[in-house]
Amino acid sequence: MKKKDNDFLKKLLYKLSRWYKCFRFGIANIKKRIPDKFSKQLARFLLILVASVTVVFVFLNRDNLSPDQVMTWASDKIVTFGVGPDFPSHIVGNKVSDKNFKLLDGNVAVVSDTAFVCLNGSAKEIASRQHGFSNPTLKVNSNKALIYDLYGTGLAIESKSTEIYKTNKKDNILSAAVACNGIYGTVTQTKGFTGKLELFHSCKNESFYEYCFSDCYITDMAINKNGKSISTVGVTSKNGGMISNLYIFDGKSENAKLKLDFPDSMLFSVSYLSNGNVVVLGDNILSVVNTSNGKKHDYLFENRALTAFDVNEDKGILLSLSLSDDGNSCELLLFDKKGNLEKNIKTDLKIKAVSYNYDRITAVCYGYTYVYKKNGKALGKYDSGKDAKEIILFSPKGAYVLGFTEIRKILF
Amino acid sequence: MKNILLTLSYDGKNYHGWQVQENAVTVQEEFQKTLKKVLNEEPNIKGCSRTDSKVHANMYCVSMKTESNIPLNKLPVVLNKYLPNDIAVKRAVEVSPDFHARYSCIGKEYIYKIWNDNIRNPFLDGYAFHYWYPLDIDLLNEAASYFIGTYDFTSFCTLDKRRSGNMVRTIKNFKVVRENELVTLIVQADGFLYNMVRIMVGTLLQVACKRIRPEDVKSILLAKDRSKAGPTAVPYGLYLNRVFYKGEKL
Repeated sequence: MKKKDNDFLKKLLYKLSRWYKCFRFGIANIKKRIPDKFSKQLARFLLILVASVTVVFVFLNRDNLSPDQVMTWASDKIVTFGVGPDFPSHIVGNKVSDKNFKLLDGNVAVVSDTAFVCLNGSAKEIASRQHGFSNPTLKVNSNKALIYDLYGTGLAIESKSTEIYKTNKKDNILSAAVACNGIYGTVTQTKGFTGKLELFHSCKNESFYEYCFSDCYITDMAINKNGKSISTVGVTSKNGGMISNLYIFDGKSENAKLKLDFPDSMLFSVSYLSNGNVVVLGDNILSVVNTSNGKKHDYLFENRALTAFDVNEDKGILLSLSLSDDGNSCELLLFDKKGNLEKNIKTDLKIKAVSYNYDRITAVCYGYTYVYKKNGKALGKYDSGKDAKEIILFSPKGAYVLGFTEIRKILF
Repeated sequence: MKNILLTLSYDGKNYHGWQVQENAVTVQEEFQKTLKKVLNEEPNIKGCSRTDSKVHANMYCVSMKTESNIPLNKLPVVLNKYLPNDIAVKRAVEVSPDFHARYSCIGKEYIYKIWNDNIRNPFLDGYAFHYWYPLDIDLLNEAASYFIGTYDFTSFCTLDKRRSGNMVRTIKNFKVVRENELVTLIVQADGFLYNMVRIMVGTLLQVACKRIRPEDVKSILLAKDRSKAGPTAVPYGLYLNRVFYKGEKL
C-alpha cells in the first residue's frame, strides 16, 4: 500500500474513533439526566412504538413493498435525476393524441404514434421506448403507465425506468387500466357478449377475474390504486332510448357490486378519486358516486356543451362548459371529491383544455393559458403557443403544454 | 430421416402470430399439436418467418425432419383433417438435409390490403384495413419507388429488447395496385425487419394525406430514426404472400 493511502486511512480511522467517542459521550450524558429505570422504560416504549408503526406500515403497503415494486420505485427515482436540454422538447414521432399526455409520478409522459416517452423537469429523456401499436392509448396510475392498442391486442405496462410487462390479449381491447401495484384489467371484444372484463395480477396473462357484459358496450374502465375496485362505463339501449351504465366490481364477487343507470346520457369516462369515490363523465352529466353506499351526486349540463375536463384524484373535478354552439363563453366549474360544486368561474373564453392541481386552475384558449386560483381570482395570462391543445399543471407555478410538434413548459 | 418442406396458409385473425407463446393461441402451437396426432412424434419444426398477431399468410413454409412414412402427396390431406379450419397445408415436398425454411429463404413477398371506401366491407372485417380517405395510387407508387434498393431500414423497424443486428435490407419491388375499392400494396425484399411493412404502409398513408411528400421517404430512410417514419398500420391487413427459395420447386 502506498504511503499516501496509509496516511489517509489512518486519518479516517482517527476521525471515526473520535465521532464514536462523541456519540457515546452524548448518550452517556443523556442517560445521566434521566433516571436509569425511566430510561429503560422509555427506550422499551419507543422501540415498541417504532416496531408497531413499521408493522402497520408494511401491512398496509404489502402490495407495494414486494421486491419488484421496491426495485421499480428505486430505479424510477434514480433515472429521474439528470439535466436535459430544457423545454420545449420535440415530440418523438408524428403526433400525440390529447389523451396520451399525462403526468407519471410527477414527470410528463406521452405516447406518440411511435414511442412512449417520459421527460424530467429539464426535458431529459427518462424513458423513450418504441411501440408497434396502431392506436396507442395511455392510462396512468401513480407510477405505472399502461399503454394499449385500442381495437388491437397489444398491451404494455411501463414505469419511468423500465418496461415492466408486455403482452398480447386474445381479443381486441376496448379499454384497459392499471393499479399502482401492477394489477391490471382489460375490457375486450368477445364472442357472444358485448364485452368481457378481465383482471390480471402483475405481469400475468391469466386472468383471476372475469365478467361478461351481455348488452352494455363499454366505453371506459378504471381501477383504484390498490386494484381492489374496478369500474366500467358503457352504453346500451332500453325501450328505444339510450342509457348508460356504471358497473363497480370488487374483483371477487361473481356479479358487479353496484350497477347504476344514467338514462339519456352517453358516459365516456370513469376514474377514481382518492376518497374512493368514482367520477363518471358523459355528454350531458357529471356524477360522483360513493362506492360504499351507491349514492350519487349528479350535475347536469342542461343545454351546455362540455369542451374540456380534468379529474384530479386528490382535489376534485374541473369542467369547462359552453353555452354557445361555437364553444365560446365557457364556464369553469370546480367540484370537490364528493361532487359538490365549489366554484363557478364565468369567462368569455373558448376553452380547449384545462388542468386542476394544487389550488390552481389553468385553461387554454387560442394559444394562451389563463391561470386562476381556486377561489376564482385570475392570476394571469401566459403564452403557451398557438397549437397548444392540452395542459397539465405540475406545480402551483408551472404547467406542461402539448403542442402539435413539441411539449412546452410554462411558468407563472 | 426425411427433411420435409410443408407449405401452409392460414387466417391469422384468431391467432397471436406464428411463434409459440405463453397463454396465447398461436399457429405454431396448433400445427405442432396436429403433427403429434398425425405423425405420432414431435418433430422440431422451423418456420420461415415470425408473423405478428392477426397477420395472415397466403404462403408460409415450414421445414421439419421426420421418420414418418406417410406419402408426401397424402400428408397434406391427413394433416388438414386434424387442423382447425383456419390453417391449411397446401403441399409437402422432400428437400435436402441441410435445407432450413428460414435460413434457406432468399426473399419474401408481403401484401397489405386496404379497403378504400367510406363504407366498410363486412366481408373484409379483420382482413383489410378500412381507410376511407381517397388514395391516389400514382402518388403512392411514386413514394413506394423510393423504397426500392438497398438501405438501412432502422427508420422502419420497431426496436425492442430482442431486436438488434443488421438493419440493411434490399427491397426488390414495391407497387400499389387498385381493384375497385380494394387497394393492395405488394412488396418484395430479401428480408424484413420487425413491423417493417406495416410502418412502410403507415408512412405511405402519410404521403396519401399529403402530410409528407413522396421524396421525403428517402430522407426518412437516411435518418435511421423510427420517429421520422409514419405510424404502424394495423396488423390484419398484412399477408405473407410468397416465400422464395433457391433451387427448390415450390
